[in-house]
Amino acid sequence: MIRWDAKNIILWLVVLVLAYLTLVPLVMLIYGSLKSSPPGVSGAFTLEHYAALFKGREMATALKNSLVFSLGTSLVAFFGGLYLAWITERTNVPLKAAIYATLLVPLIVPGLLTTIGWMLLFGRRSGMLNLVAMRYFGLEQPIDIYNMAGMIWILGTDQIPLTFLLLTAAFRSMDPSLEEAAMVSGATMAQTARSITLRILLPAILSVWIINFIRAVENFEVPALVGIPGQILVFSTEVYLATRQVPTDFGLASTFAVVYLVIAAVGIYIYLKATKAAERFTTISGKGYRPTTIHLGGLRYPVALLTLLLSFAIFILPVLQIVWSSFLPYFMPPSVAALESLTLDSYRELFRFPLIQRAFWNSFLLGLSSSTLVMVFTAVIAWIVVRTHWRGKGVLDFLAFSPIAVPGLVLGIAILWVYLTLPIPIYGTLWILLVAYVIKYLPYGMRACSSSMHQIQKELEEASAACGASWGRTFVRVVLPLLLPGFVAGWIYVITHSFRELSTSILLYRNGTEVLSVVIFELWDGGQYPELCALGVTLVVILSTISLLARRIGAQFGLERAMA
Amino acid sequence: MTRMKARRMVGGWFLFLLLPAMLAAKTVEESLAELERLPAPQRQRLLVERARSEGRIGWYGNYNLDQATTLKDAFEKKYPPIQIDYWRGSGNKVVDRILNETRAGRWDVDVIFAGDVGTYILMQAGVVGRYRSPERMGYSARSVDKEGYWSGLTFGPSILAYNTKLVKEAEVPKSYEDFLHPRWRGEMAIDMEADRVVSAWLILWGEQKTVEYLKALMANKPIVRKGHTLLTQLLCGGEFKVAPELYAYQVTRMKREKGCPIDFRYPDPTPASITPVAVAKNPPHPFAAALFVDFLLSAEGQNIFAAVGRIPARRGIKAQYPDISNIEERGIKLLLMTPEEEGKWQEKSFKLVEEYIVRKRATE
Repeated sequence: MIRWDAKNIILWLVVLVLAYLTLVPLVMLIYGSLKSSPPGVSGAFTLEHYAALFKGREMATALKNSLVFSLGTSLVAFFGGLYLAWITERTNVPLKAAIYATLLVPLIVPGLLTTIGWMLLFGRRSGMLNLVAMRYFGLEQPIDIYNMAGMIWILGTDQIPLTFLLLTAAFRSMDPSLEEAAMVSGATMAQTARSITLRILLPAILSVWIINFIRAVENFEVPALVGIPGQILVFSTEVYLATRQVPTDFGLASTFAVVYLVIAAVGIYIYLKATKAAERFTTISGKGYRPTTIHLGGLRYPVALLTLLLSFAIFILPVLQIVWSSFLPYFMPPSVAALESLTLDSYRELFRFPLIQRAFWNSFLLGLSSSTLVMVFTAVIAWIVVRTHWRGKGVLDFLAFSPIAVPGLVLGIAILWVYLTLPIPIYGTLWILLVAYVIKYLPYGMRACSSSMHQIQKELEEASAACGASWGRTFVRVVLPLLLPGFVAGWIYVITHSFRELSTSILLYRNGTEVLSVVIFELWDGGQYPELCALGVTLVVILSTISLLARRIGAQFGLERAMA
Repeated sequence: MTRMKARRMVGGWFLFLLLPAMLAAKTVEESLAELERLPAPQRQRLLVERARSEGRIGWYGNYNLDQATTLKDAFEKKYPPIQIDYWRGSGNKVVDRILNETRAGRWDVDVIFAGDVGTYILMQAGVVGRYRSPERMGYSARSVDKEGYWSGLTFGPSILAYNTKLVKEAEVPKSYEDFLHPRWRGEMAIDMEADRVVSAWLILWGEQKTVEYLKALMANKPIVRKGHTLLTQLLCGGEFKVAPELYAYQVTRMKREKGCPIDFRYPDPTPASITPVAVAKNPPHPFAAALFVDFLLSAEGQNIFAAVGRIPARRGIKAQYPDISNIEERGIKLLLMTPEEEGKWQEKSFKLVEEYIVRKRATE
């Protein structure tokens, strides 16, 4: 017999909403992959799409390429993020704020723009890096980035900030007494890092790594812009090529998505196994928990400068290239002639469209509401999954994580069909986009909340309950504040990424509900690069402001104590 | 609640759900039939009056935002209070969207710019209606569809482009054969969706010679990128020296408006596509749609196409720049490809492009 108190009602509501959000599109997807005709047209059930998928010998190559690409990308992102998180969180290097600032940039800039930035930097005759390499470093041939190494570099570096953000949250809430104990017992810094720090952070590390891996499998921009010209085809570009012919073969697209799902399910399985014993790593307790910092001594300035320089080259340079290009009439190497032809035409051209202002407003509304909804929602789910002994919690975790496996394009198709079929009149409104964004960012909110939740000991909640607080009160007054670093990190992540979200929005937007990423894509698709760069610059300015404001507000809650 | 009441409610729901389908059941031809019986001045008066009371136009197209905005603004200014809702997507997306919506019984689209192949596919799917605009008088027989399914708005010649700073006058490629010269090894670029020019080669040369040419071309290591506009920009920046299949209007615009060091030659004959406009089979605003199509095909509308850099299909309307004006009058032979022809060749050219350009098979 279920007691219908507030806790149970909320619990069941969450379960129902989550199941509706994630399962209905998934059912559509599997149904579509087995159907001989597009949605809306009657047809028979068939396995022909699966046969077509695995028939081509290209698939083996594509899977191998995807694996190499995703492994490489996740390694670059992981070690880059780990290094930066460790340096800024746990050592006493100066200039932390500057390093943070460089890291915010790629978090904000849409992947499409960063990719274009790198492509321009490595242009054969107009690329700045190649000009420098050939003139000053005696390179005979320009560096070619249209290969696997180039792809890994571009996406790997683009994902460093996400890794950094998630690892930082974990670092911040780690109990330092274990490390101190190791140091006191005579362990060296490396030994401590290896056998204490790394192990405590294992759940966070694994989940971050899996997110990176799957995001790389799913990524489209880099394999399309860099891989296809270099003849390196991965899974996502094979999907693209398979569905390039009009009209789109929805059956085949859905089949690809189902295969994605399987890959992701394997990832989640590994993740769940690894975090099963998460209790062991619980490190936020009722005790004081400000981690101590490691003193680098005389090395602190050289390390800080080197880190800053590298961060600048990796994160800022491609963006500077975009800024530079936004003032040029066409691609030109930096020169006197180029300086003379600098112009504001692209910006003028851009703001001629009333569409742009509307898109800014829509993106802002959607970003704000989807990030808040996702974070509150996943905080509750994470609590259920981590804290309760409810039997279905594994399913809940899986459901909240499953959208990560659905490529945006297919999520778009699935949602489109759900709402063209069911009599819920949100097709063509901002609501359908909101639904899509919430689904899409559930996994990220979930990871941010559950890694933090894992580290909060039950005793605090028990103390609150013992003092007579209701479940709701405990959740709002005890759990949420402790979750806050992870919560805010996740919130910033979702809002900035919602501004970048493209593959789903492109199918769901209509007149009046255009969002910025769609406008960016349309400019790219229409080849209006200078305007694209101009819009990119504007977007970066706005998103930086939002992030800084969020951090400022976060600081009110003690989030930034370590940063000052 | 009585069973009777419940049944009536269910029935009401069904009616409600069917309502849009019932409203849209009239085809554009049926809607406009009374119009076509009237003499020209009355026809025009009635058309404008009805269009105004409809008040809106759903336009799905693959045109750039700036070009579409210019057309939209001009029309809205001329015929207030009619409002155009423009939805932009690539040719494929326009096709997918229209098919998705109409399969679900949703007719939101009035006017369609889906490109030549896209229009052909939509025609095959039976979602395009027939509208014979009186403005079609000003067009040559090949640039409009006899049946009235589409009318050509602009021409898209595919030309041989080069960077004027990097290529000497004597070495400028004048034919497709010239691109096989070793001096262009790794110094030329081709679109990864070069279907159109490949269709033209298939029409001109037949399959065997086209395959041989493609193999030879790919053996010369062209740079493969997506999108003709991007290729045009990269050619400006000198990323490569020549390109065998850029669009005349884009190269001309970059050259004239941005001062890019690029130029082009017309191959003989010059493959040229037709950009068609079509009306949906069951448009929600048939009169406004017809009025908009009339406007686009009129001399006034065609001059706007010229002003945004396109090459107008209407006889006697000049393009903005001499490079792309009076092409046929200057003795340049155009291989004008209708949507039907492009549609029919597309499957074959798509396969060849996939095999030789995207996967570069048999050239490694």
